[in-house]
Amino acid sequence: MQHSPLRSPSHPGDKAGGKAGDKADVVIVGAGPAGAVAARRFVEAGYTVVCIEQGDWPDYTQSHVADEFLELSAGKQWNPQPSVRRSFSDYPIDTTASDVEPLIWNGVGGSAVMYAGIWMRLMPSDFRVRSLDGVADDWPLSYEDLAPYYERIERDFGVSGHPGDPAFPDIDAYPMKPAPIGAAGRMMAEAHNRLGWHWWPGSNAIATEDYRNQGACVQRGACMWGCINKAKGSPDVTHWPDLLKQGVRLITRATAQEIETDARGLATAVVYIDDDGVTHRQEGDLVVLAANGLGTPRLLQLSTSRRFPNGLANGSGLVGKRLMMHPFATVVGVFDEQLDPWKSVWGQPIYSLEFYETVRERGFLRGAKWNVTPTGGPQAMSAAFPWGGAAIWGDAFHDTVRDRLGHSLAWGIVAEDLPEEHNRVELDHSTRDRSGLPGVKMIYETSTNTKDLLAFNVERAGESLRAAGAKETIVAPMIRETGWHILGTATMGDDPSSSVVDGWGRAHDVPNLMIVDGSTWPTSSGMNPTPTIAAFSLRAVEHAVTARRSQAVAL
Amino acid sequence: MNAPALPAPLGDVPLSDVPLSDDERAKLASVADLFITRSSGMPSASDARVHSEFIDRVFGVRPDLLHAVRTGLRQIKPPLPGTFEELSDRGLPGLRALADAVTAAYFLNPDVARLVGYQKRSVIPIRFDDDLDGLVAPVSARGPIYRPTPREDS
Repeated sequence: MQHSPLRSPSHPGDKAGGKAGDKADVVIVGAGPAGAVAARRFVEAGYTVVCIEQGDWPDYTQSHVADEFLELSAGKQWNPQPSVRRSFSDYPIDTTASDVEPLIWNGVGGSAVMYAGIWMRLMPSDFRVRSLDGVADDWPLSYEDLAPYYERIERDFGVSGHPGDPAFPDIDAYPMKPAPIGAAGRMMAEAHNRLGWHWWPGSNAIATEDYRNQGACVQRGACMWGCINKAKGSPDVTHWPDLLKQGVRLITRATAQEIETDARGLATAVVYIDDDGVTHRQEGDLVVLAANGLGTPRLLQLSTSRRFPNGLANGSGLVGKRLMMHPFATVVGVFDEQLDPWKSVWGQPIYSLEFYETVRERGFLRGAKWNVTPTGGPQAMSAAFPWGGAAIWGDAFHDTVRDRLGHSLAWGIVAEDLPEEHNRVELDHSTRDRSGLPGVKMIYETSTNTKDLLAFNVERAGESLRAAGAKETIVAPMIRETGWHILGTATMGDDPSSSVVDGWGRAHDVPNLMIVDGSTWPTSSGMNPTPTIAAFSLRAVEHAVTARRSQAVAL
Repeated sequence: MNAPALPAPLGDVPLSDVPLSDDERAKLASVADLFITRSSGMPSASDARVHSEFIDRVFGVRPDLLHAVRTGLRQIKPPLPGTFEELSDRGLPGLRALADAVTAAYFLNPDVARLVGYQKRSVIPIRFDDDLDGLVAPVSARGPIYRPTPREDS
């Protein structure tokens, strides 16, 4: 393989993003956390960067967090489920063969625009599942490899938290002090202290003071539906305004159609379709995919050629496979105490990792992370999340609302989901997006291990709530509309026959193609993934910058 | 509670963006009162003007729900049952969306919101907890709970 180094990372007189149509040093697909982190590091190193994003900027003028229509808007405009929201940027996703609905947002900031801001690192064992538990695979990197990048990413995303959690080796500081844990968090913390169970004040990408581009949180309890205070650390706030000033060229409303390759199998350009339906080629020396666990395999599968008849970077046959979804359960406690969950941060007031690590006597492997989650306002009292969706109307309506509203909290339970090749993402040629490209079909079945794991944790969560004084507990054992974490569909590893990318995110089959999003995860952990996605992207890009002189590029 | 009188059947109103007709509103009032009754010191849905002012406010923010409400109403054939449970037993696919829209409209009525103790979200400046070290002390005292990276890695 002939290697041609990327251009020198300093180009006097060259605007970083270049002009429309100019060849770029780096072309990134996707402007969410992984793409934004990559763009920042590349542009800081002096590279010309173009980012292709199929959606647009979030329109916070359409936010209803400060008026009485908040919960109504959460059902449509600010709904994370693309099949409900039906935005122009959402491609069709057939979920008829999936136990879980995917929740994503396609636009600048990515799905972090709608996430709760919950911020969790992985634990050391998450990187060594094979070594420690004899299942699945180890990651080709360790917790210790990623730890320095977590620290940098936590500054970039404006994270608040309380250092010193003994569930992690070395979280010594956060950029900001944590948000108040509130009445609900305090009640559960005291209960766990009585039980001798782990808990810790919540870490969240939520600014608790004015911080860089973020405003201090004002505790509307509405982080997921258009934070008009810009307190939540989503890349449309934390990264993109600065990146544009630094010269990154962001092309919105542009749907990536294909990654072109040359005769040597090197990526040459990203072909995309603009808002008017016109096709363009954006050439680049390096192509970086950051389009999430659905969008990334979709684009690789769309990129077929004589050399890559089964899709790009798919020599292992694993592109689209090993889909992991983090099935999610909630257990709600109803209390006599006044908790007023709409007068706090949403995010996570506290979390617990008491049942995170494997204990074989439980009859399953791996574990789950819990976080206290608010239950919302009056319209949410009959919702599937977190109540399970059983009808409350009729004679019992008023008494049920009176019991629940302002008097309830939930433990949200994130279950580690192990990889299985039959869980997968495929192109769906029976549907088309607005650009005429095929949609995707998800085939996903929750495993017995995951179900057993959830059942155990649901029982323990009920114990926790009763220990705190709950007069009633309500279980939503597995809520379908909770597929926030879409992982594993372009897995990383050292062996090209059993992985798509290496530990630096470099595609084994295409030397100048990188993947830096959650599709690279060999195992899913039981944590909210954004911090690790972002830290991995930073580490991968840092390596690409360091190794630029040996980087193969198309001529 | 007695079953309310059933309004005249709806004609072939197209499922479009035209506002709810008087007949549809009358039917909505009757159906909504099955969802939300006048009891426990709370007004019924029709007492709270769900079928008039407040369903229109719902549509103002969620125009997509007009279709859902209209569809849900059409699926309810006469005679109107006397209770929500009887209505639910019919297994109508549009019932859930109709119930959600009625519930949203009900709580948009400021008198109802006041009665249940809910206010729209307001600005509450952060006041940091000053006792966290003491509160987490028992957790810290138990020491690390993570499994470290296996030694051969280090």
